Amino acid sequence: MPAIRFKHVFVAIVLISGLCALLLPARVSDVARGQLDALLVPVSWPARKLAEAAHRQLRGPQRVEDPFRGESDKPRTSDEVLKDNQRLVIQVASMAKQIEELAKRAASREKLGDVQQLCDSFAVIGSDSGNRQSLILRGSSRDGLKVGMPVLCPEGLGLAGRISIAGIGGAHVQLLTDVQFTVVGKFERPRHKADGSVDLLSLLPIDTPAPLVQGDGRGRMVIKTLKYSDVEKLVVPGDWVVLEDPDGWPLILQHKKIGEVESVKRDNLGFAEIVVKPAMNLMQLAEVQVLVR
Amino acid sequence: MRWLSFYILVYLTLGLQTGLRPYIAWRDASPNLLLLVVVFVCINASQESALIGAFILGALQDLFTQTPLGLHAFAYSLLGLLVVRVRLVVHRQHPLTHVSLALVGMLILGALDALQTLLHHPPPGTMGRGASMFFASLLYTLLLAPVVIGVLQRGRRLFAFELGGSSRIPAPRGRRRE
Repeated sequence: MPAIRFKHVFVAIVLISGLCALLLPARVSDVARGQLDALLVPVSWPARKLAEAAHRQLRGPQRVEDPFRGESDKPRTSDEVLKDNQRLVIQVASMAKQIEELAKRAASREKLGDVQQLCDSFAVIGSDSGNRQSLILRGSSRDGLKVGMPVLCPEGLGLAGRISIAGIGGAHVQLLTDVQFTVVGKFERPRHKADGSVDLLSLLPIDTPAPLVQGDGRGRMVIKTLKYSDVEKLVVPGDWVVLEDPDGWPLILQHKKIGEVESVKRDNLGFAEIVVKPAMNLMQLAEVQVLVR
Repeated sequence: MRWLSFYILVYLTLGLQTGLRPYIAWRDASPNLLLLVVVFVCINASQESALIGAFILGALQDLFTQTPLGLHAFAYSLLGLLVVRVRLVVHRQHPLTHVSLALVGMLILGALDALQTLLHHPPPGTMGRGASMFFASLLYTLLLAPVVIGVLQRGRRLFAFELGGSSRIPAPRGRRRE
């Protein structure tokens, strides 16, 4: 009987890994992931924090855009900001009550209302070690994280992605900008008031076929499934893309902002190529909110 | 090879890769630091140690990425098999060698990634977007290859590699070198 040599064993292991990579579905192989993420924290987390601090220093102070300013160049005064905040708080409280009443009447099982109360915050300890757009969280299945849970940007600034792996050592978030991420959305446009400022509580729907939003792997999303004739002159840079996917996402997240249209071009086949920018650089998030309840 | 030094290097590189990636990326293309470590180990360690080390590096990287499990382990093992064959006929200290081997490694990884994506019916446009990202990442990795591997080469004594520092072909045992 021929002696089993190192090279025979090595070739066998390599072939098994090749078959696993090429043929095994992700839901089977992902079981092995998320078990050892916590071990990297002593290196990845401080490295990330240092890089974040250095990035902030080099970038300098960032001018925060005032979404209510609209076309006007004049910044709002502090009195105007206070009045707008008071008006918004009252309006949101009233709408929350109305939603509560409607939910009771509909005897809906779906949770509605303030999404922040249903979320837990988790720190980001690292990102994908390859070339994919994903984050590694300091949280695990022991903290209640499960595959498929929606993930939001901090302070409710929009969707970030979904939990793709949840093990005892850590959890991974597949971001909206990942090449394998798709979601159905809808175009909407904030109304402009007479004084040129923007009314963010009143969005104008744009009548187009439902766009399939895909990540492009480079920090953006792209819509390539609509004909240019369907969106020409209807969709312009600055328009919002919001979530409209009741089959795949909870009701409470419907109409949550996915991003803003950055450019609209026509490709050689007559289809539109619409690039959508997320609310922030998702790969540089320091923490996220996960819809755990 | 001193395995403790190897594991410390792998742990630090993996931690830095996952922690720093969004901040060292250029237009969302990031370098593959672990592949450079694979090249370093494979050109210096004995055949068995090099192959085992390459496989372990790939398997560990697979645990912290969204790409299919086994992709990096397979790619780095193939790279290891190639490097152990050619390392005795190339100048192991030369930066051009490092860049060339890193290029081959990235091409193997890219080809396997593309093949795997094709086999699983990707959404339309995925291949094109993936290709542009890949080439940007490849260029970035090749730019860093002579620097990272050059620095690691200076510390190779810590790893007690069996192959030694000379790039010349060692004489067979029992025969005097003329």
